[in-house]
Amino acid sequence: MEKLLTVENLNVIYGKGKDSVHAVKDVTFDIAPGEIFGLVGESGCGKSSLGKAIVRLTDPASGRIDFNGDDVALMKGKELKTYRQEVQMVFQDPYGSLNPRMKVGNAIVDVLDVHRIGKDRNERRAQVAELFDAVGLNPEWAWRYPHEFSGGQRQRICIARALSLDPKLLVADEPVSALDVSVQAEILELLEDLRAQRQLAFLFVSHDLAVVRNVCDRVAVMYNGEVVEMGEVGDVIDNPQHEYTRTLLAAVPAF
Amino acid sequence: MALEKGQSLWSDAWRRLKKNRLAMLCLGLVVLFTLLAVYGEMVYLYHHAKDITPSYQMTNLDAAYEAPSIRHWMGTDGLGRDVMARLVQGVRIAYKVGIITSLIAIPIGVLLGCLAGFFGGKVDDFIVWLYSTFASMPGLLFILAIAMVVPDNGLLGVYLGIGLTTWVGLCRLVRGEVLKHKEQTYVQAAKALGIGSGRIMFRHILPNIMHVVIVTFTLRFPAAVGTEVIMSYLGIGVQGEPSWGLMIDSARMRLWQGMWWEMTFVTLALFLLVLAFNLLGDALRDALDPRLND
Amino acid sequence: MTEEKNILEVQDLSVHFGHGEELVKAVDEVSFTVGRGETIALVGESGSGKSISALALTRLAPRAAVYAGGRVLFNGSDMLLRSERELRDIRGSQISYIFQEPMVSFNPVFTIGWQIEEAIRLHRKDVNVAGEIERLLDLVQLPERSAKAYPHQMSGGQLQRCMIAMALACSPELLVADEPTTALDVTVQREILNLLADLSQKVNLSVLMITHNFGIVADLASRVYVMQTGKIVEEGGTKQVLYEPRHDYTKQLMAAVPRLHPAKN
Repeated sequence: MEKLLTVENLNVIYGKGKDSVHAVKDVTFDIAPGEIFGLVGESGCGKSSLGKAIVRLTDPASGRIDFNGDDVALMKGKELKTYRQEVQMVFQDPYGSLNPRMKVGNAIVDVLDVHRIGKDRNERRAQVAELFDAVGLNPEWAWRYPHEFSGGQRQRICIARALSLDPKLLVADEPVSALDVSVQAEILELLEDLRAQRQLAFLFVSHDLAVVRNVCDRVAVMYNGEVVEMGEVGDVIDNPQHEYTRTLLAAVPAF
Repeated sequence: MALEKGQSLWSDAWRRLKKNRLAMLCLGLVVLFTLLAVYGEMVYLYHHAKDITPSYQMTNLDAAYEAPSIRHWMGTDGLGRDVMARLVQGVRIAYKVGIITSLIAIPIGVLLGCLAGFFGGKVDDFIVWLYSTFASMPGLLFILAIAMVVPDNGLLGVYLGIGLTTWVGLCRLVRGEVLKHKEQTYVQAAKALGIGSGRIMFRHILPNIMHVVIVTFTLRFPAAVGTEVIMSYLGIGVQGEPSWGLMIDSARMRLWQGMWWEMTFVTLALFLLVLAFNLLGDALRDALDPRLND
Repeated sequence: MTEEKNILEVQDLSVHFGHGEELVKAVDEVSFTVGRGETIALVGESGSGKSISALALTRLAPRAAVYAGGRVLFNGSDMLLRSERELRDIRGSQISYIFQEPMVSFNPVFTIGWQIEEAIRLHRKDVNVAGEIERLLDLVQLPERSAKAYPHQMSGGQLQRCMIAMALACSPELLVADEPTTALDVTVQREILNLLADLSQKVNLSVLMITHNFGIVADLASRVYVMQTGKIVEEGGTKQVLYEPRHDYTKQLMAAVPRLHPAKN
């Protein structure tokens, strides 16, 4: 099968010497175009560090991140800026990830400005309206400040902003953890739609096994920086092989 | 609603500020003082160019210590000079000291604070070392040193002296605020979107910490005027020009003899100017926070 | 005092914020009961009024709140008619609270033991404090040496155990747990849930659980009340509400909850 992203023996280490923390240890996996790949684990297991390394918010210590044939693990400057059009990120906290003093539409125009997408400001504003429409928001709301929106709406805005560069892969770090169940369901549905319409692939980082079960195709379970189990989501959850996966599944209060 | 499209934070802030009556009153007062300052400067330049003694410097001992009257609205001082004319000249000097020093100190403080907070590491170490060095020297001594070095034995030395020593406090505050904001998700998000460091610093973070800059400005204005008073008293800087500091100093001696007018009007002018700046600053800070409005 | 069947009976409780056009009925004529030794759950999404209801039991709701009506009968006496002084004695000693964020609920400069000791001394005189601390830590299954630790030296789960130890310091009859495991990892959450189930047996504790997680409801509660915008829209036995919801809102919620094993449901 064709691969969009291949990660090989990736290591992320914070700090130096005695105080260093080996957050991600020799992780290897791949994501196909249009696939939703889940990354589950508890806090401190390295799943967020891995997500950040892939969008290059943290620098990997060693290993390869192969995206469409380019090694992006060591990219810098201009190349990195181009890569960032292809791989975008959505964060957990929809309240903190929008600048409180910037109208949400302007936040998107700003991104388009930086990447010189669109001819002029008017064209960019029209694009903002399209993006709002794409994520199910009223385009007229684009010229409001973040505090005027609910958590779910803000998460939609963040998704719209991430989509503004027309990426191929979206790293979603706990995108629905801060939301109520009914809102959570709507956002998950939106992600599914985007995958179907745009062939968008996702790295879906989450601690919630039930959510992962419902949206992901394949899943990797992380523990202490390592991937302990990986496979089709149904197989892993219904028939866990690794001890840790079993403990994790047994702990979930479910009905 | 549709008309508002794409308006920036600043035009929004202005729209909100316009609704605040007290703020508009203060703005009016600030404009009035500014016009007086400009007028004062023009009068000064005119007399200076023609090399004649302006009326506010003309000694007339027959008219000394006159109480406020129709001829002299704010009375006259010990040498028979009109207090109101001198007061207007005082505005000019207070403005220059307050604003020009701010124009030197605030950009330095903001720029260095942003750089230190945002980049951290060696940049931060250097800037912290720099402001620690500046902060460890007695301020007045440093100002005096600069004022001595600057050849023009006038106000330029005062501007540079005050301007180059008072950026430290603001720099510290800005650095702290930037450190706090740098960790916020919106900054992370901006990085992930490929937005450059300079743009993140000045377009994204700076508007969020603008309140610190505004409050600093409103607080340093009276402080700068105060420093000018001390310097004039020490014989550096303002020489022979009617600054508010010199006026208060000379009026102080006569107050117990019942000559209340000079002291009253000068302090009243200083009070109004500082109050207007402070209230306007507060209102601007609130107007710049979209969460507090609509 | 006569032994009532229910330790807590809330009748038509209303808590309002603001007035005139901006009136918000945060809690709107809510009634529920907690039996002795029973664990019940109040579920709902954010803004449903579940937390305010819990805080209102001992008039702990934010200052701006207006107690617009109803009664909160704890052991038969109305909490809303008590003076602030009396309520202070009741809070912690008869009705205890634990909250969502154990990490910020401790003062970082004092040891855990010191903070538990303070909770004991607030309401009880003449007790062997050292022995009590030991007993409480044992009750929440923490080693004795934890008393000497500072908050930053403990994990979130351990801190939540300490919170529970503090809450139990005066042997309260009712424990109000407001999202006690939301900030914790699933495996740690499992431990805390087991501990709570264990405690309600061991010390005959009544628990009012406030949560948005239906899994936790299924796990712990015998009865459940579903809240939406200040009102209780459905109540009943846990099994009945979760598997055969009657109200539209509950049905919607149940449909939205992601299932770990979708096929089995």
